[in-house]
Amino acid sequence: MNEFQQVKNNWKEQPIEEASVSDFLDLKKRIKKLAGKQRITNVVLLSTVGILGVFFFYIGAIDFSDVALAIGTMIAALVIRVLAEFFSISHLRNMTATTSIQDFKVRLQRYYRNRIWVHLVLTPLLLAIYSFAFWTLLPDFKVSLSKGFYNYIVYSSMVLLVFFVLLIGIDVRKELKMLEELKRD
Amino acid sequence: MVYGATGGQSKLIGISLEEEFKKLYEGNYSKIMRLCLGYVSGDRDMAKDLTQEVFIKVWSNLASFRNESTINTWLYRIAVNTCLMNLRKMKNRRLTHNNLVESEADGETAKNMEKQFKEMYRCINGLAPSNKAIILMELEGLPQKEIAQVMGLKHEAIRTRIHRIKNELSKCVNHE
Repeated sequence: MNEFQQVKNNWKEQPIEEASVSDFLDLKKRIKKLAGKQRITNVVLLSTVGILGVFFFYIGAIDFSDVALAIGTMIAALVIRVLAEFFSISHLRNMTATTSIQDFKVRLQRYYRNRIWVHLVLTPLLLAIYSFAFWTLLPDFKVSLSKGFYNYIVYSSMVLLVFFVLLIGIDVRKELKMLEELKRD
Repeated sequence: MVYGATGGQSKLIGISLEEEFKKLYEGNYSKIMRLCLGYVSGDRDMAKDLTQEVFIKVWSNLASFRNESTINTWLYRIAVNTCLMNLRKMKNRRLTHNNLVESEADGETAKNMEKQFKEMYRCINGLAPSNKAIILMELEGLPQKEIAQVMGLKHEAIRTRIHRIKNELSKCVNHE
């Protein structure tokens, strides 16, 4: 018997349990839950955007003061990044899984390339805009906040910035690894 | 099988969509689970999760199944694509005794079988994602023509690739 035949025999000998009624009921529950979860995510996302919009107008953005404009820019940068992530995740989830493997792989590779674009172009751009808007706020903070608190804000934001850059780096590495894996054959 | 949508409710002629789904689930659970096990290095919990995800996709696409391929081809496409979609979660997953599929045999035989399974999953895990799909379907006994349809490749290409993967797998099992 050759080695492959041995592997094939082992494969068939695997003790796999049959489909159970409880597993099927679990599955039905999960299907129902998923539809609800999707609706909740959409509601939460829309409400967040709505609340941030209301907040923006509430703080006086309507008169285009520098402070309000800076805060508005920061909020917009955050919202754009959250939306990009949301659409990216839902795009992957909704990718048609009934096509041939070759077609699917091409679309999956495109998806990972888009993710890399988001990490390398969109996110750094938004981060730069966010940081610039934050930087324009610093003089106002210096006047209105205590020295200790002002220093805390400045240093903690620097740490956060480094943290985000590292996070982007890790994500890019992961996406590149996936692309490499998909290109292997 | 013929599917039609009437009054907003999709039905298989003579049998409801839910009944058809249940039949598909019961009749194909084990083979889909085995395929998923091959993608997650034999991790039973992860394979179970993945199998559930496959059947969620089967449910959401069942009404649009149009007989353009056999139900088997269609199912395998969903299963392999779902595994590819989750590749990121599975990569670098280490095989441990606790999550490995358990043998029903006792004593020495069980130990040997467990060792063989571990070896087999290690070797399958080293293959490229498409090759993994091809060999997992071959191990399951799917005809090469059908494997070609699932993959979207020519029959001849599949035959050559299977030959190559078999050699690769044999060498790996023999630690060559």
